[in-house]
Amino acid sequence: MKRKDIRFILMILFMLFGIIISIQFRSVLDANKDKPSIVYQIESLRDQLNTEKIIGSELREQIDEYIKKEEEYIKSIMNLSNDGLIEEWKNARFIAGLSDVKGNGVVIKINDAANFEEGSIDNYVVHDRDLVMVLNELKKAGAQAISINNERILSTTEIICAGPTVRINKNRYAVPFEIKAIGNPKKLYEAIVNSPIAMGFKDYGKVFEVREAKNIVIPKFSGDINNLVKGLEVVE
Amino acid sequence: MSISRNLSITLICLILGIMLSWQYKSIHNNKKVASNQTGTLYTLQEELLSEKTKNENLRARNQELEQQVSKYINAEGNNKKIEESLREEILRCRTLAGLNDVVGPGVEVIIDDGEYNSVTDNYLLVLINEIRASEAQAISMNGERIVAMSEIKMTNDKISPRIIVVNGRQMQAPFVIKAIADPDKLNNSLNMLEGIVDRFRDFYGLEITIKKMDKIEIPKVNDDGSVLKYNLLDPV
Repeated sequence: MKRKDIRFILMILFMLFGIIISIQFRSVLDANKDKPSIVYQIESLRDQLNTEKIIGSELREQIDEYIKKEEEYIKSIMNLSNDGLIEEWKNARFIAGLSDVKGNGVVIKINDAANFEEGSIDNYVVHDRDLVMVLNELKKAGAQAISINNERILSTTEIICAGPTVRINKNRYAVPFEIKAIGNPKKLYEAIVNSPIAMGFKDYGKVFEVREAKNIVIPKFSGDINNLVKGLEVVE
Repeated sequence: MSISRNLSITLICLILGIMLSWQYKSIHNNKKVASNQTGTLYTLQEELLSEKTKNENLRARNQELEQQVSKYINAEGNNKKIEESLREEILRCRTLAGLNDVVGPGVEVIIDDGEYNSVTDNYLLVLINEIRASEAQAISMNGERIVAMSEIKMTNDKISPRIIVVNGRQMQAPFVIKAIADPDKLNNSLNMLEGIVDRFRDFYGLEITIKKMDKIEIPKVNDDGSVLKYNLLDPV
């Protein structure tokens, strides 16, 4: 009787052992199967990303170079008598948002909430309309130049959700967002901190940090302009 | 005999238990690591894509500038031609900034208070953003050109009719928004299923009509210094 008992118990124990070992084996196998390829993919994506970033900064340099070249060239072939026209050209670029500008203002950092609590996940992430509303608050408070993640805001700039990213000037950006605005720092700060949109961010624990800043640099728009005006016929 | 047997079985069970919990933890860990890696992979893919679009747009800008520069170089010696090109560029910049009256094909959107709901600043912001997303090149609202720093400000929250201020000018519903863009494209994107027209009409109870037009005239922004301000911006 007792012998049988032991055998029975042992049998169950060994069965359990067997199951555990097989689960273990499979888990390790799975992990090993996925790991090298994912790690490899991540590695190669990082490489590609770095390359693209380097290409991007080279392209930006090239743009600056072209603008400089154009200016120098025009200056060299035109007489000094026509300096006014060159000034006018520079001024037009400045007004249109096609040159870098510097000034005092505010910097706003925006991000999704770190923790999702109850309710819809929609409440905890940053949406295109949030950004539109923040920008409108800044404009109401007299901002003179604004950028989101260094993308200059123009008269044609859209801010629209495209999957997990937001499309701005046809470029795609993901959180976190950094909004820079030049204007009267105090006025901008007060307006933005007391705005309903800032309250909305705080209610759901979304990141919304505002600080006054000096000598903010807002870069120029660096997409092609022809696409933005080619459908317009100017009326004299 | 019976004691030692019990002891050994207890021991085995104990070891088994420890192994089991350890095992569970390890599997759990493996899964977590794997999902983390998938997350990173996904983010990296997104980032790479956005970086690539950015570079494409930078390339387009470079090409544009290259053409401009070569235009000047080709016109060498012909000062008149150079001046002409320069004036053309100034015109393009000023058009982008909203400083010229323009005409072109587009769409006229009229949005008005419904029976139970009235048009607020946020509805207008969303609508204009949507129009921009369809690559509109010039937009006006009740005759006021919408430029980069145009605000949409609601001055009264409760009373109807609501008063909206754009570029410092007060206006009331109905709001006539004119946009120069590809009429079909703009019309389609506003009218798509569950698009902005559906939402405004069915969910928010507003009146909204859209009319495609072959020729729309959009006035320039008021250039007396009340709307466009640059006194706080320094060129870099």
